[in-house]
Amino acid sequence: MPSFTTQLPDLRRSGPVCRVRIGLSEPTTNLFRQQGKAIPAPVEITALIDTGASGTAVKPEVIQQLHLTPRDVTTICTPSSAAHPCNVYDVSLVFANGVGLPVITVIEVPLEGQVIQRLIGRDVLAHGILIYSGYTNTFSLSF
Amino acid sequence: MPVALEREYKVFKEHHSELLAKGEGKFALIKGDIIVDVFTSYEDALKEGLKRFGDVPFLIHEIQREEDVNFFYTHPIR
Repeated sequence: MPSFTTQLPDLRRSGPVCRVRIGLSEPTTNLFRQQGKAIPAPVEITALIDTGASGTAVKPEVIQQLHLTPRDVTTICTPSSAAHPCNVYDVSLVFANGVGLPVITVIEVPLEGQVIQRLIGRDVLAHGILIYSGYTNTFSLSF
Repeated sequence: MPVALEREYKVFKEHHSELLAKGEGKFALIKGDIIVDVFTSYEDALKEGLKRFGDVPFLIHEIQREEDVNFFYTHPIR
């Protein structure tokens, strides 16, 4: 099972953050290839692995950079907002060492004023194993 | 933030009972007012939607008895 391990200076303070590449989903990439269309380069962003998030969320700027097309609508609830609808998109996701998923859905959520551009939620974690080792300031993710 | 696919989502809600009879946990593919089909996986629905319509907006919605609400409990670091 492919995996990666990251050590951070202060895991408690930062949370399990990592760099990930987000791009068109594999089926959309294949369609673009067949049609001879230019494939937008994947965007590398900072993500927080968040067991408190049921889904995976990205900032609208990332959606715009990749020119993604909406595929669904879902309802979200946050500590500071009532339930409201948001757009959903299909993407691919690649972590360090090439560990990744060719098709996942992401919810467009304005993570306003935050360094984090993406929350990796339990929908992604459902595919793998997350090990959080607080006393060594490391975490590992396997798929 | 504007929400897309309102028309397709309305069609999904209007036909919820009949879609539920086709299989909870499956994925409905809807374009405009047309329910194209239901699929076992999101990926299969996506492939069919892209094959039929190309990279344009269409709805792929999981069929559930109660609509899912996504909860984000965490305020990420600033």
